[in-house]
Amino acid sequence: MNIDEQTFDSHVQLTPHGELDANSSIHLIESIRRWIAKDHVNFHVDMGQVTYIASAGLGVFVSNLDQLQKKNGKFVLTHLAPNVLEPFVVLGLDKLPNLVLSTDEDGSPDQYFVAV
Amino acid sequence: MRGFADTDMVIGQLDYQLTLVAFLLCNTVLVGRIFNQIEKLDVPVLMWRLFIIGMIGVAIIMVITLVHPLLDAMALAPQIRGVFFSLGLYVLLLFFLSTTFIFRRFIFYPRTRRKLIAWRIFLAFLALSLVFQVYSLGYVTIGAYLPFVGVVFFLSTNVRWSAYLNFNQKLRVLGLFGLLVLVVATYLIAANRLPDQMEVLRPPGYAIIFINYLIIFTISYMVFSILVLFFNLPTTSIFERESIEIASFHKINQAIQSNLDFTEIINTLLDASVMASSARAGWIELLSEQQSGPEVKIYKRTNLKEIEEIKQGHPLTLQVIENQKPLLIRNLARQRDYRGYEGRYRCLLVVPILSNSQAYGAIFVVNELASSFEDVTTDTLTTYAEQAGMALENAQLIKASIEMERYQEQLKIAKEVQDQLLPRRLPLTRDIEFIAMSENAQEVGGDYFDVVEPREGLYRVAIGDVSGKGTTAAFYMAEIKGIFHALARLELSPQDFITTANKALSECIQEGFFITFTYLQVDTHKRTVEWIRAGHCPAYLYRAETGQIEMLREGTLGLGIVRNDSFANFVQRTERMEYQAGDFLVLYTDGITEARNEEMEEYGYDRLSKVICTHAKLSAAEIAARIVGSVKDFTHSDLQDDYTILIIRFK
Repeated sequence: MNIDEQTFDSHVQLTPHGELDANSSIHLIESIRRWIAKDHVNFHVDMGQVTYIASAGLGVFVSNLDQLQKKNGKFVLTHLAPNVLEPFVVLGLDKLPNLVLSTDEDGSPDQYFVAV
Repeated sequence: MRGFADTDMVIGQLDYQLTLVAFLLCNTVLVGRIFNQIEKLDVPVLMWRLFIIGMIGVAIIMVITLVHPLLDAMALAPQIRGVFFSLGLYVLLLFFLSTTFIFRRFIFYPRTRRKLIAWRIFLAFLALSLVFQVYSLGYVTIGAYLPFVGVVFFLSTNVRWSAYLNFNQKLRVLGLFGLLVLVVATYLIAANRLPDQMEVLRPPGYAIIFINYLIIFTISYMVFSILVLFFNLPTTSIFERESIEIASFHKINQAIQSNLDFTEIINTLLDASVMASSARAGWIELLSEQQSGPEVKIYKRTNLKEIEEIKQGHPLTLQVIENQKPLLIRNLARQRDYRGYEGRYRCLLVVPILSNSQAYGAIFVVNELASSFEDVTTDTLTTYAEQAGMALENAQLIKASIEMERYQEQLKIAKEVQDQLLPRRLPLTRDIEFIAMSENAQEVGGDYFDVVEPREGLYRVAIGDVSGKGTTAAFYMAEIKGIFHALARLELSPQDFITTANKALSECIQEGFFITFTYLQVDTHKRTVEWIRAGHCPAYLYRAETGQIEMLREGTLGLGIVRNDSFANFVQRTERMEYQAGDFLVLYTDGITEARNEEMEEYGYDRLSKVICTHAKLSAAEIAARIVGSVKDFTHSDLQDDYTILIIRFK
């Protein structure tokens, strides 16, 4: 899986491409953990290029939520296609305060982050 | 014949010549039979035996020569002299017959038709000599010996056995032949000092022709053997080395074919390499599986400290693997990079161990003498390393294959165990019917469903799905079963059930894994259903009265996502509904709704609800079968994920 990475003052932006299944989600986990190891806690994950997400893909976010919460960090997922958003909602992840799900294509993620 | 006057007196009236011939013939046959029974040609051993027999013979002859003046002085009876004569003749005969028949064994290595014919002619000459003896034809002229010498010359050239002796054996046999020459020479000298009465034992002038023939053959074969052994000595080491190389190559080939393990292969390789290169010491380094660099796996006639001293930190294994060719340092002391080396070794050869697809390590051999490894040594060790590379690759493939087989076997067992975890029979009463269909994408999966009836008319139902697939999911599925069975028998509200289950699971499942779960409590007396959905796919409720289908979306977080007490904050109230006869609930896992076709389109909720509505009048089992059929028609293949359908029909 190809992941574009970009850093901003307030957050790290990750743009994964393709399907987030059991195999490809490993790359996204590694990318997130690498940034967390560098003390980044706010992530904007642009899901616009993700066409499918399996339960292992949901696990990428689930496995890091606890750690981010302790550090007051969060995930902001934007440009979620309906079929990608649906598993998040069914699993109840939309109820978590540090996981923001957005289908809004115009809204800036900056509103969710406090500049560091 | 001269000199037999006394002897004629000893044997009295018997025909002396006939007795002598019979004696020679009997002994020839006897010795011939004894040495014919030798099956294995062990040249040094046989030569040693000959030497012993010869020494005894010479000793007796010498004793006779020493004591006969004494006998004369004592004027002993002719009978005593006759005994001495017989003894001398017997020992002489025994020695030369032994050499003849042992040399025959040498000549017939290997046996050929021409050799056999020549040997028979040789025997014919011996027989003829006995006829001469019977008719007392006296001494034959030298011309009579010429044809015999021709046959002996041909037989003496057959010394092929010498080619199969190694250097040490050749040296030993040469020494034994030398001793044998001494024995024969001593005999000939000593025999000339025999008393006149025994001059018949004095070769060559007066001896019996038969014995002369044997002596000629013995000396001839000894001379040929000594010459051949002597001139073959310098080339023996080359043949030996070639022989060792072939034997080592054969051993390595055997290692490939017999599928030995890594240790056995590298043991064979190191032994063969050290032997073929005549190295003083050697070792093998293999790349470690953890990619932490090469490690010394085995060493011979050296130790780890000495190896480190020789290498001086140079990554030689990686170097030869990268270059894919051997490295020969003819003199370590003169090598710029090794100036600090003060060890005893001078010459170092490193050969990479490679297969077609992988690098395994390198063979190291060292010698104390500079430039002691030649190009031919490098070629030989390269060939060994290539063979060993193939052997290691084979061993690796076989190991992987065995592990895969074992894994499959374990999965089979796991499947059998997991099948036991799911209920074999579901309740069927006049009030309610449960039907389930479930299949794993792999041998084992993470879907779970179950029904318990803690008391009559009260059913507690679970359906769950562990994130991921395979064995990990299967283990967590077993955890859920334990938790469900423990909690379902307690009087817990659905909220408390979910909160307690989340707490229990959070302590035992790995980070990143979560479980979606729906818990229902059906009371057939009150005709009510209470449920809570923890991240699981929303169930469908079909109302028979209206023919409408309803998705039960209300729900909370999946289990294991939030692993602290704050989880309780996400748990919403228990949903509750009343049902009518004919209503039914369809619970399922995401293997149904997320099944995809070739265009990567998902089956989805809409198709599922339509199939349910279309077949709502059928039995619960038929509805489940139609759903699965519909999904398979959609995907045009078997389902790629675990799936479970659980239908609860109310009556």
